[in-house]
Amino acid sequence: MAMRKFLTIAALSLTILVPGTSAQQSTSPTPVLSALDYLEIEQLVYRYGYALDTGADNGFAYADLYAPDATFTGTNQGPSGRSYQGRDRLAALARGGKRGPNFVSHYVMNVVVEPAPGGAVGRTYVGILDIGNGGNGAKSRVDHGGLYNDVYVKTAQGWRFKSRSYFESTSGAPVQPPPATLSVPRALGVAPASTGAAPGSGPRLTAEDYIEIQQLVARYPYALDQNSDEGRSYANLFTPDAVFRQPRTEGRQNLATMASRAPHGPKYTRHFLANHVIEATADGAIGRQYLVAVDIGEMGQPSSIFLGGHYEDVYAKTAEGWRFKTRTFIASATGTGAK
Amino acid sequence: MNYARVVSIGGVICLALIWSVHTSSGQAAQVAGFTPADYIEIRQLVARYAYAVDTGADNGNVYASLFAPDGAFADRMGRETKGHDALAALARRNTRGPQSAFHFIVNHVIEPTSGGAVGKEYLLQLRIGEGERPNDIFGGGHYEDVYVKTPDGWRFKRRQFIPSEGGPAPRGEAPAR
Repeated sequence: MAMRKFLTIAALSLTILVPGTSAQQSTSPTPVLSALDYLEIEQLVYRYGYALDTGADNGFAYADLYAPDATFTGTNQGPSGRSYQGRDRLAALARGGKRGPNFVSHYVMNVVVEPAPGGAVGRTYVGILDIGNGGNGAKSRVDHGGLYNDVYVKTAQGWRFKSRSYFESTSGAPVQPPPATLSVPRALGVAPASTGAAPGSGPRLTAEDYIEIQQLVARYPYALDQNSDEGRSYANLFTPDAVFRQPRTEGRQNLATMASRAPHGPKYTRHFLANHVIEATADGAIGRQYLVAVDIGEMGQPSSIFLGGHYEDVYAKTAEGWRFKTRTFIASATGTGAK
Repeated sequence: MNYARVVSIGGVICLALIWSVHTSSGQAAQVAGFTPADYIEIRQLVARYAYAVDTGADNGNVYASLFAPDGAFADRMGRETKGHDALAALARRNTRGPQSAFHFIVNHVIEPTSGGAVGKEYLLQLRIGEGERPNDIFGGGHYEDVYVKTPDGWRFKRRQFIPSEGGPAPRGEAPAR
């Protein structure tokens, strides 16, 4: 029994490719990542939540985020953790349970990426929320969460997970082997940006495009929660003919009015966005993010999740920069329910 | 009004003035020499913050190393902690464990300035895996940052946490947009 447990732990130690440990050291050189490499790895990490929560393509959308020989390890599964390798086994992880095209649960944040021999390593936080079906905040709660330790590899199809290990957050002693420790940061030496994006012959975005769209979306919560100009800064995030749903609101004047009527204040924070996926299209770009709207308790009062779901966006590049052309909020729901 | 509150309000006003100069167009300002690599490095700096404070890595020294030598963290009252040793001690006091995740940071806006950059993010504090306590939301708010580029990369020149306070309308009545 003791030998079996030892072998299990030893095997797990080899499969958890903790950044910075000997397990992932190789003779491969450490690449200098470009800005697009960082952005594309972020995109991979953000796609993870959608693939797992929706179970799209019978779980294979999730499996295809991994390289062919890649491994997912849940260190919280059983006393010694459990690993899954191979496309079919990984796809099976994204089936069953609470899923559906509009279901949201895995909110990924704090994505740290570092070049490493053969590719890159990373770590992220994940908050796994139980959003009440239909987005009714009354039943929503923090289910659990923790950290991922990742190893990424650049394949012919783009960046993929070589390994991903989940560590449940705990204030106590860590599992063995523990998650990677963070080192002192250094200047990244980011390689010059190229004009290409993901492999393929379709439309492409530059690093500047990704960053501008990220910044557009990052500004959204401030313009809504902390606006001090009758909603004008909110409306200016949209094209003049833009449409927000729901309720359907069209044009900057109506958008400004909608924002001015929403709860707001200079220190108010309510709209937390995560998992921002961006894709190039022939006309511009489209994107998605998870939203959790939180009513933060004040003066010792408890906080609560008001609702959760996701946005679906169409972006247009204008003379003023990237803007929302359409933005649609879809509340979280399990099953195959319509939007 | 006590001194700490005056300092806190003063800090918020100063940062608000910086923002008003740099965000009027609603689009990232174009400052010569500010590249995608600068955005990436600043995003990475901010992402590292959570790990550094939650795990207290290297006895708090990783947290302290995220700040410039004269960098400062200002708490909700505007009280500043400045200098490597004091910042490391702050991280040691606030660490929750080597496998803990508490600071979830999103909505990172970055604005280049003539002297570096400023930024802001929302913070959601999730209390997970703390004994028998049910997992919950501890609190939240936003950070207001000033970044400076040093020979070692981008660092915090100043970071202040500002807890969320409700807007003028009753909370929970209006739908999220």
